[in-house]
Amino acid sequence: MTETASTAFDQGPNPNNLREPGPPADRRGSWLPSPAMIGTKLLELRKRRALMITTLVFTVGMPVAVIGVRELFHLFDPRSYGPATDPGIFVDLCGVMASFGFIIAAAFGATAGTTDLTDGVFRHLVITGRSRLALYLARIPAGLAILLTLTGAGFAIVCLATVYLGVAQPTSVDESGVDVPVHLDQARLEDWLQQHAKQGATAFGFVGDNPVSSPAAFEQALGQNIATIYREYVSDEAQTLDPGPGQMTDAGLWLELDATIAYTVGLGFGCLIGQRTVATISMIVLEVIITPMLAKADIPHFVNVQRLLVGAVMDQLRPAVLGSAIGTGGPGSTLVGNVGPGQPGLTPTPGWAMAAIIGGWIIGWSVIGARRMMTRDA
Amino acid sequence: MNARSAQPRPDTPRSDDQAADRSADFAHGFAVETRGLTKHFGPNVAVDQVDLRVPRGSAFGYLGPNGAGKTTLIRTLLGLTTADSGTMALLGIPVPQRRARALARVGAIVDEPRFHGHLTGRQNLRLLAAARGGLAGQRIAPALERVGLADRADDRVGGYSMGMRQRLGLAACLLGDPELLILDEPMNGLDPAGMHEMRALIRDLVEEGRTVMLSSHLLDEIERTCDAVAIVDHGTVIHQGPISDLTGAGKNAAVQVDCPDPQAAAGLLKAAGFTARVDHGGADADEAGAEDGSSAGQPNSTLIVTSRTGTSQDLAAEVNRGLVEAGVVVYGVREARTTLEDWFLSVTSRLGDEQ
Repeated sequence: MTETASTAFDQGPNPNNLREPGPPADRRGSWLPSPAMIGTKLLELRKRRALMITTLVFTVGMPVAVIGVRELFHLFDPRSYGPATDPGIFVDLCGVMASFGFIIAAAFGATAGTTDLTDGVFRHLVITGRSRLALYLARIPAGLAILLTLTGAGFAIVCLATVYLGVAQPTSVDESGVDVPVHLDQARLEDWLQQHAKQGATAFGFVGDNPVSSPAAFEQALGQNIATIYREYVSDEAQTLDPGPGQMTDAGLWLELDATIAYTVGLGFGCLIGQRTVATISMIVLEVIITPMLAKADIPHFVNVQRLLVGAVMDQLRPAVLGSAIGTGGPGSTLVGNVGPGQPGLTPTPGWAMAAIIGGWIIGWSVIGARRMMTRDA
Repeated sequence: MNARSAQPRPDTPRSDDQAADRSADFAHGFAVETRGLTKHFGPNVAVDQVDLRVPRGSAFGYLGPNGAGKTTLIRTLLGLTTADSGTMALLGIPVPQRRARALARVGAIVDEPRFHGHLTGRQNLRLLAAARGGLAGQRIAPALERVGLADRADDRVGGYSMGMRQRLGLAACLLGDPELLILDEPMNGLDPAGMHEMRALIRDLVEEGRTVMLSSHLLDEIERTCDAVAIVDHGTVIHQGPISDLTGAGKNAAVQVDCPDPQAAAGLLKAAGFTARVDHGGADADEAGAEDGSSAGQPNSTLIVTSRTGTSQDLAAEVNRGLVEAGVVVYGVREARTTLEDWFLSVTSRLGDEQ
């Protein structure tokens, strides 16, 4: 120890001078984490360089790299390479972000759930007398503040690139060689079809081989099929046009929900086993193997268990702008090959059940993690 | 109170009445008090029926060999693990029933102090101060200054030496302005200068009116630092009390005389009215069984003279004068004291013999 240090040992300021004035407002028994606890946990996570770089690469770096490379190709050889983004690229990037986002968020959660323990700081925290539940709960907003910000930033870059670096927006949708104007709602599409009976019938083929033999027959066929026609029109429009602000918002919220689920489950699972690597690998297996396999199709007598998979629920909640909702195998399927539309998928789950399943995963794993933290030997 | 009652898990809420009853039970003014505290790990008993009383305002050593259960007792006191049976209180407040309140004025280092290596010392303290709340955040700088880490506070802890981490651990203890500090092996990893400074700091803390309980297997450090001690072996406290009671300091005056023939000198001194004996490496002359009664030339023979009155200095002067006047060559006369190590070794030897 240096001489300076030695002097400080003997003569340093006395913490006695900072005695608590009167009875302290002691909230250490409260289960609610203080803003300072959340802030310092956020600091602890933010300062983990490897974790932050990995998270940054897969949330922001990956879309930036894909768009950047495509834009460079386009700038150097516009004839061979199209614009950096188009609606298809938007969908693909969102799919990859969902897959990697889930895994990164799970790893982030597992890290947040185990580092105090593995670094030997948990016992220091327990000795403060602070409620162990509060110590656990502080990790949720701290980690989500980082993850949701980075996920949102990555998605915002994709959206901006889609709007500003994408193809010029067409004014019509090509339906079997017929140009149908874009941005029609169902009523206006019906009006347009009545005014352009021959083209409309060709475009959507809903009245057989002789579509305009009888106006009455046309009217009847149109009335019977307008809902199906409109779904087909919307689907084709989505593949042609950049997603609108509302659709982008839906997709962004879906990605954020995916990250939130993965983080809280990873946090709870990490706390439960106290081991980051095993928790992360388990989450990857769940995401890229188990969920895609079980979300493909109904298995007799097993379908209700299949429905409990959070990935299968997220599959069904996938916004229309990101493609077919059913049978794609969850967000993780992008990594192992999308089983794709055309697979039968699981029987749709009611909305209330989906909300309950997602809530159950988040709350259930949080309870498990918190319970383990409260009873663990420190 | 049932001293054998099983303990609830940490954070388990208890009724105010129960807590008040236990508070009254422990209102004896001890900084740490345990009754019948027991902790098993499978078939092994780490803490066995420990009744411990640590007086306030003292430096108290919890002394025992490695594996004696020192750290387990501390972990149990702090709620890091649960007791199987028994009761305990910190600063008169029963734990774990009112753990948060008790720990408000307790600082502790358990095992080697470990921190987030990727954060600086100051950031680690911020993390702990945030958990502690109150004025803890404002005590970070003074605490770092006090343990001599102010200059390195903004370096990453990953680059700290063991001694620096010990000091950072002590700074973490000071964040709560503790009345009681519980330090587990605080001298570990410190060089001699660091140990000296740690000792001085502990004494300063005691002089400020705080209680410091430290565990150690370093007998000399405990003897130099502490006022009282509990000696533990195989999870059981085999003795507790002031160190002076163990070493006999302040009871009898005793001197050790170095001379060529201790046996002859002892005879002269006995004839002159002194109480004298010759030790042969731990056994006295009778036990050694020297046939001719002479100890001349025996390398480990020492002459010990004791007196129930006066000081060791007075006794040394009288013995020296008596021997010189009788024509005995005296190489040296010095105070003879029983060290804690002597006592500890004799006790552990006895225990070994009994087993």
